[in-house]
Amino acid sequence: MSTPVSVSLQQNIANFQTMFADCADIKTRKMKLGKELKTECFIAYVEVAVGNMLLENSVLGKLLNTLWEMPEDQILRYLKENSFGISDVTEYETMEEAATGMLTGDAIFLIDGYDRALKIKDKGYPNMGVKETQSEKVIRGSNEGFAESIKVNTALIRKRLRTPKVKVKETFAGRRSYTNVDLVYMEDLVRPELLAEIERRLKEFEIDGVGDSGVIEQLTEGSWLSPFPQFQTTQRPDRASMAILEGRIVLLTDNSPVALILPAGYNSFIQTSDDYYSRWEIASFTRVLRYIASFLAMTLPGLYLAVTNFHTQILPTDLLLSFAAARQGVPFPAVVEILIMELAFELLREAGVRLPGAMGNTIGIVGGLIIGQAAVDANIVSPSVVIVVALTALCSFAVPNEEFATAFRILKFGFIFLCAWLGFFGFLLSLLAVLVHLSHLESFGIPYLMPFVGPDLNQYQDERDTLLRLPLGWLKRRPIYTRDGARIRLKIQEGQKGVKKEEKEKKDVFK
Amino acid sequence: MFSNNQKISLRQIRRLLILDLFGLSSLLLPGLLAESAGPDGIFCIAAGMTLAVGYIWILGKVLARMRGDYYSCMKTLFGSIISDLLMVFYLFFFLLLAAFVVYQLTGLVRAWLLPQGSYGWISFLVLILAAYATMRGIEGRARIYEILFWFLLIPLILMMLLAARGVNPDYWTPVCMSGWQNFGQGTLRVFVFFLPVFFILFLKPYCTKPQRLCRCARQAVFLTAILNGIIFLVLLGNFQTKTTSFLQRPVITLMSMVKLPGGFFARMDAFMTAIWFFSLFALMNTGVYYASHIVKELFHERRTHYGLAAVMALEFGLSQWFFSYHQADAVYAWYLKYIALPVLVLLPLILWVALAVKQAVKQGGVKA
Repeated sequence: MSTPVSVSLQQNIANFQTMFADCADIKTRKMKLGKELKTECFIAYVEVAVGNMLLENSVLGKLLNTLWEMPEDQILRYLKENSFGISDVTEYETMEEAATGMLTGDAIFLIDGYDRALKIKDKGYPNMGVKETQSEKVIRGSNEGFAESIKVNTALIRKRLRTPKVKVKETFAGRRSYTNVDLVYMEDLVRPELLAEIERRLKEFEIDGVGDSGVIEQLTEGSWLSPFPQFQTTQRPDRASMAILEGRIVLLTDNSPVALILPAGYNSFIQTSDDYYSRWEIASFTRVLRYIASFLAMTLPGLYLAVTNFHTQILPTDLLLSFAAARQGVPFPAVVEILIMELAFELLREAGVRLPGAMGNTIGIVGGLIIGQAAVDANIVSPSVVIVVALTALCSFAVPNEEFATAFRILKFGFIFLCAWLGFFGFLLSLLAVLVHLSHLESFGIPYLMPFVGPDLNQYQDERDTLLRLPLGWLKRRPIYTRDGARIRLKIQEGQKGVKKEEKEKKDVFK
Repeated sequence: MFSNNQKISLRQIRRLLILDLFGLSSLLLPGLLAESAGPDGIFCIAAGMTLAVGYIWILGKVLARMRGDYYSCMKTLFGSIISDLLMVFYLFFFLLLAAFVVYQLTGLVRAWLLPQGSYGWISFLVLILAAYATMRGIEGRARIYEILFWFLLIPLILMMLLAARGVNPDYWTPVCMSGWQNFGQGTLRVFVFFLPVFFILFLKPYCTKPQRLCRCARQAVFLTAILNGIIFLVLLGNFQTKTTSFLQRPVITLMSMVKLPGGFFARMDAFMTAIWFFSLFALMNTGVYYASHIVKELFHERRTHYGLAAVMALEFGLSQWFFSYHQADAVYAWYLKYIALPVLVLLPLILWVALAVKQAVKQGGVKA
């Protein structure tokens, strides 16, 4: 049901404020116009999207300057007769239309005694001028990345989700830094208990300063000792917007381009934005690759040690002999070889990150090609170990989330240690330990392994977007993160089915 | 939110039960059946399954009338002292079961993965992991096996299909020649391996749909019986009766003989040991979980893990006893046959009658 714009400004303001309750990024301003400043007016806009509205060269500035100099009795007549003559001004009859107009990135102007809302064009949302994301690259999809300013970041989300149901709850963290922290969520999709929980956790600590969202992440996560992240991080506004559409909460921190998404699970860390932009076959294929990569990034060196040191019977004789020949002349045990190469790789990685862009790439090439080759030539490590370590590194890079991949990188050393000590038994033991840990781990009350566990809670629908990403037409329900009763995200009208049927019948006729 | 309500779904319970039943039975039953009934072992599996289904029917009658958990139900019927004594019996059963499984698990590791490994170290590490898994409650345990289920079942089925190529059907004969006594002994052995279905008595408070627990248990028994039947036939068809009965863990020996197409892996026994490693761990973990749960109930322990620590120490001691005392297997078999089996079967029967009488008296009182 739509609410018509009233002649009473107070009524309109009340309606507007109800609609945009808990939206810290929506700015409003009341002013008085006319020579004697007796006519009240109201301006609302999305922060960042609208610049300094009083600038003389802006449309709104020009309009306001004219109205300030005008006698009160002429203002309404002037607006009715002339405002439509001003370019870039649109008139709305309902508050809902006005709200949607404002969310396209323009200002809304309401005046007492006039039953229309005027949308006045300004510079609009920030766009490619923002910056391109450095991580989470995609083949298809937006290239925009979050900026350092929290206001720009909320506007980037607002730009993608133009509904008053997107709420931005503002809070502050850091006793001395007084850093702005925004919780962005969809009012009718978010679970209220989830929102209450993150608000409670934010109030639970008091710290001097918050330099980055990482500080908030570490202080609010449930299991501090777990190597696995319990927040998903992203630098992509489209990823954050999609998470909001799933009923999740995006936590933005001022001066940080990294947004936190909660809750998160194993499956959500493996998903990428372009999984949903590409066709389902290729999306599923790359998804399976990423799952395998996440497993191998943790286990491959350990598995190599277990097989070559303890269970050589697994391999065919030819392969075994080739491994043995490759190790000829290497003075160290296989575990030392693996550790040398893994540590060298970690050093290269660290050096590459700290150096400026171009030099970082050079370090990668120098390390990978020259040091690796030199180490093999000098009989410090065998070529098979170089292959294993390089493959493990590739696997860790294939995991789309850096924090998540780091967990596997750390656990890899546990696998190496146990496999070197106990062989395949050590491998099974460490695998079971990781599984036990993950099965106990939760992110804001949601089991980390969902929807591989408890898929019945959402009628087995979440399984359609796990190992395989089934066709978009089949992903009709939102995941378990969404509140009960608001799970339908896709409706395909019967008519369209009918059209498809008709087309099929036509094809059959041509056959 | 969703978790931490100490409730698990029927799917989780079914998978938990299947792994509980499958691990030990598939490892030991083929040899035992081949020894006692020869090719008639397959009929013993069918008969044992029928007995287990009957047993579940009795358990179902108890579950239908039971209010609250099993311990409080017994308390209401028999009073504190008797119910405490009965819980001590269950505690002892779970402790021995878990220790026996640790013994088997460690034996498996030493035989196929780590021949030079120390029994003490292996069992210690396995028990530490079990303690970690037990600490966070039943939900975490259920999730582990919900995930592992297909990872264990699919390779097993594939390997069985590959192994089926070497089956000689002549080895399945002669049938109906073992005699009633041997057949009865084989059936009883199968039933003993299906006894863990009584876990559903303890699972009722944790189940989201307790009224469907029996159906769940029946499905678990059916699937385990079918898997055991297939394994038994494949083993018999490959090894004949005598070799199957002679081998300690025939199913894993079979895995070492299966040739994979492609030739990248020469032998799969080390990888396939994982199936039994995880299944036996599931059963052992169940034993540890219920034992520590009973200790908690008996000593009214809240929020601490002293009970679990005591259980782990006892488990370690008992598993060392199984390893060091060469008659331990026989003693445990005797205990199962003459103490555990009668009590575990009779107790639910008595409970059913007592609950029915109580209900009748109550209804009579209301009418009067």
